[in-house]
Amino acid sequence: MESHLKKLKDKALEEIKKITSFDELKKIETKYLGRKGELTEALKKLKDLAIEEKPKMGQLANEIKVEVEGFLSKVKFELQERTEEKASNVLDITLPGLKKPIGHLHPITLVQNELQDVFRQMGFMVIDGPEVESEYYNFEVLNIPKNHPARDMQDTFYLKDHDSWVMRTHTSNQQVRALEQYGSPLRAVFPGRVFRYEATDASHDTTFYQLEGLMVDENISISNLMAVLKAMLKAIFKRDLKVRLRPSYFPFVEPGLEIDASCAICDGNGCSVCKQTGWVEILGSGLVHPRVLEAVGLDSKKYSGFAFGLGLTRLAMMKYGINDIRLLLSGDKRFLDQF
Amino acid sequence: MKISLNWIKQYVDLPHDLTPEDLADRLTVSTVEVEEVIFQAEEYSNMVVGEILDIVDHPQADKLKVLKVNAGSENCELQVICGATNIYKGMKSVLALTGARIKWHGEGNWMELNKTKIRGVESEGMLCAPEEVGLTGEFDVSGVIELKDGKPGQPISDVLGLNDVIFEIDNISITHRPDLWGHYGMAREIAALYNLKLKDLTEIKIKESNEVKLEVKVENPELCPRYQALAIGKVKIQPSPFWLKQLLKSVGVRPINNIVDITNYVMLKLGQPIHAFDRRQILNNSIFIKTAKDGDNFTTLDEQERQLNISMLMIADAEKDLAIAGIMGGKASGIVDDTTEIIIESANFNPISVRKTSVALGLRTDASARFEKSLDPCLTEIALNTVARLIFELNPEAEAISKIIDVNNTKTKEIEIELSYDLLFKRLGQEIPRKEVVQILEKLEFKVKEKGDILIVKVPSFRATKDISIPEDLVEEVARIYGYDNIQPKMPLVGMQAVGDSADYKVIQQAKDFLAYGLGATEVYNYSFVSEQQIKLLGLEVDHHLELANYLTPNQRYLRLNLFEGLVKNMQNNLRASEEVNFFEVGRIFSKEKGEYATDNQKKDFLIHQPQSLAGLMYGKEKNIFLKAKGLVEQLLEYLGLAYTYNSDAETQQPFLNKAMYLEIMVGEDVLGFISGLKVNNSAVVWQLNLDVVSKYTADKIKYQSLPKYPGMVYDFSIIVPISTVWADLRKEVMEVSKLVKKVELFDTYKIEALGPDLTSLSFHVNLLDENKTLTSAEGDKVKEKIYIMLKKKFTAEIR
Repeated sequence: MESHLKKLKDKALEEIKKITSFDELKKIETKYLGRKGELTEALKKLKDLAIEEKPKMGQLANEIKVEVEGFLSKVKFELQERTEEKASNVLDITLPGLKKPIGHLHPITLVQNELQDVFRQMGFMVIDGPEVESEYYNFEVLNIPKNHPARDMQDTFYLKDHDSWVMRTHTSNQQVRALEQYGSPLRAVFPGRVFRYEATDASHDTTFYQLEGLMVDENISISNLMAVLKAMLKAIFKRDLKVRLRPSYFPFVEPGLEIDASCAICDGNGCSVCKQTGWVEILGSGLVHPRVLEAVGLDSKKYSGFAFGLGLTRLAMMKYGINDIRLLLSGDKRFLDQF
Repeated sequence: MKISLNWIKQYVDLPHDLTPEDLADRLTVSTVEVEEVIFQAEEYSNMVVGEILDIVDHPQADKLKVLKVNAGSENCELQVICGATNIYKGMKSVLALTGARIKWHGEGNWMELNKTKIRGVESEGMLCAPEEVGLTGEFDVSGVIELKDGKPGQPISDVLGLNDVIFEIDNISITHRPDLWGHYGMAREIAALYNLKLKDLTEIKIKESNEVKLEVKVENPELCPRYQALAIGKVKIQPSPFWLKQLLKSVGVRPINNIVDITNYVMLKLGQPIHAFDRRQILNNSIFIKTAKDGDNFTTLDEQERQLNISMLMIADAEKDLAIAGIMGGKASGIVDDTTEIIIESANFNPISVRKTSVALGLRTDASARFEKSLDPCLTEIALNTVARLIFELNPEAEAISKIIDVNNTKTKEIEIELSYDLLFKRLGQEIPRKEVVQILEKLEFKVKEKGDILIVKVPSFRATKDISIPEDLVEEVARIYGYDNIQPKMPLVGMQAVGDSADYKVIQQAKDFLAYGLGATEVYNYSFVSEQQIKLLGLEVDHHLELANYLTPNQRYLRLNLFEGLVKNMQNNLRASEEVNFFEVGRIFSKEKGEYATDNQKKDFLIHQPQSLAGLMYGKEKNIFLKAKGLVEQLLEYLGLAYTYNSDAETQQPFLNKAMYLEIMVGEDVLGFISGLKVNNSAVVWQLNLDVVSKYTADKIKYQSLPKYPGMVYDFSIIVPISTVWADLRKEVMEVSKLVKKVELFDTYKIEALGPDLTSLSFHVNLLDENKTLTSAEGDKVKEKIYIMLKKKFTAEIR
């Protein structure tokens, strides 16, 4: 049996060596490995062997089969290579690949997704809210009383037939809505579109996007705010930027802070983007004003929080070098197809 | 607002090694945003005193002269072309050299001077007129500036004393700090930042007199909490001295005459606006502070006629209005050249009233900007004293001719705040030395008493109007002076929790991603606002739309009722550049019905329904554009895991949708959305999905089914049927022929000319499978035959 198998192998390898065409290859393949091929038949006979011989012969037969198959493949590849050399003269493989049409997401969606991912990783939930908003949630409960400059007609769109309704002027309208719904502790971001009564030019539009963040718990501090914002900036810009906090005024935070980051374009050396200052305003923030917490019944001695709001539109414009804000809502395919 | 460093230095001695840039940075991180540091000397660099040595005619131009100018030892003699008529040999003037910053003829933008040829003759510099170098206040000549002082070659900034450094402050960063609207307040802050001594204000004793019986009647004390007035006589109106003009100009205020300049100076020093009246114009020396009459007109100092209403507070005498309180004086009662007796007003007006009036009149002034911020009522006293002192200094003859009138209705209540170290350190996130806390507050002129772990803090009057009232306000004071830089960032410690989101959030993100990256659609954003034209293009009613009360432009007047108002416009705008459009949008749409968001915490009234909508528009010249759009929607729904069905019997009420090509999509009992042809354009198909329904049904519906154990068979059919045949019906009938039919899939439809217009051809695969055994061809053929018979009978089909 053993010598028969070995002979069969030598014979097969010898014949394979002589193959010069695919036809011959097919013939030899069938001759040895086909359903009634010589090697197949030999393998079938293994079952008639004595039990003690079976494992050894079985292993040998298998090895021979693998070797013959392997040698066949090798010869086949060589044959293929020879024919492909000819074929490559026909197909110009430098022609552009055939593609399925792929669409595009809006640049603000792209930036929003990126930020949402960062905050979700830090355990912030994403909450959406109304764009037609009551003065109560947009102003009053945020410590912006009647006659505060921020309520002026020149800043805010009001609705006809609904005196106390506005187009929300910031995503901060969600702060109290979210606290009413979820209470403390809360970690959430509110992305969305906001509206300002503002003449339109290359850097101003009636409609733009913000992302508001809010964290409320016991003993949330300025030091916490700094750490979270640093982590966010690192995630956006993929490196450690220098961060500068400076006092600022927003009625619904106390203390109020403006956060600058060292200019990512010039590394803080001064350029036209940062108006030669080396710093770029990234967001407004602060500790939630006690009156805001008290409006939802939280004890402001026990609970505190931080809030921040950043301009998604501005971030998208910075990131992609878009120099005219009006392109964003132009619906121009030539613009949208670039993202 | 502009702050002059020279001015600041009058109140505080700055360390010698402190550069203006460093001071600006420190102010920015601790107090106010300094937007720009302007070095005056730099603005006048490359400008020197030039002495005219020789004047000859220009060979090519009648009106021009060619001058030889001595520009000092460094620059030697230069050839300069000049067109001015006031020049003479030996005259000294401002000579701009290459690189100087000038404004041609005082118009247009600043530009850099270069050597140039004028009518063929080279000019190596330029003799300047006042308006060409920003010195109109300084020199009043037509022609080039004539200098009395200075040596040829000496820098102009030296000769004119233009060595100030100006800080441009972002006004928004001091909206809450009325005390910082003057140089003295800013100096106080700087003194606190660097632990320096703030110099006291000089006060004089005013000799009051009874010569003029000045009377003030405040009719609306809530709108005018305090009004002080003083009459001064023997005043001579003349230009101010150099130092005063210099200070005013350095912060961008044009000098006018000594009295007006003094009132401006005091405002810029202390933040308290001052007004001066010509006493002759005030009937019986009696001043009334009262609201205007509706419809009255009043001409302000700037010669504009203003229409008044009853909410506006005015300064008046018994017969006429004199000034709009806190905003601007009247033309008729202002200081003129022959004024000799004046009445000084130093008053405190209600911030809200001033702001409302200022907004209503569209008139914002330096005075109104300050009153709006809630000024300290104690300030009127020191401001009045300062004005009087300066008038007496500049007019040695002048004297008070009345008593100091003080109508004071302010209820001064000292604010006292208890601040515990515990709260302070918790909010900061770290402890800082207690001694430092007290020191910081005291430097800012708070009075501090330490009682164990609690500080009892008295707020100075200039911070007490609205700025500081609660412990958190003091946390900010300590934090910003201590320096945010000195606080260590520390991540909050929180209980670990899985993140929940708004129901819509995940669906929207999935749908957007798949539409763009799976189905080749492009996301577009449109305004929430639409025009009447956009509404009417779709045949919709303007009345059904919410409207803005104060719309900015007719293009953005109404709130969109659906996303198509924007998408259809997008299509039209893009057709010039594109043959195909496949857009989608996710955004809120606005109806007039009440929705789910409450208007306040009472939860009784609700805002209008404003759901997130998902819609798309596909445009293309191909005949099967409808089916392409349908395929897109179907793949999206399959991706989102929705078991949808169609209701082709449903009718639409939307006027812009093509009723004959309207297909409603259902899930369970709910309407999920629709796909429809568009009347506006036959080559466009629109679709919409209601996201609340999508969120309701979307779920992991995928369930593994065991793989078939036995091979199945596929038969191809090609049949000719009447054009009216409905594929969905035919497919259903084929499915029902036998249990072995597992799938019926259309792969081609075409018209054959020869058959005429009433017939069409359909080709489809039918997959047969028996789960329990290998299907024999006899069994398959039997089913095939049954299908043929059914098709002939029910659909009058012919086999091809």
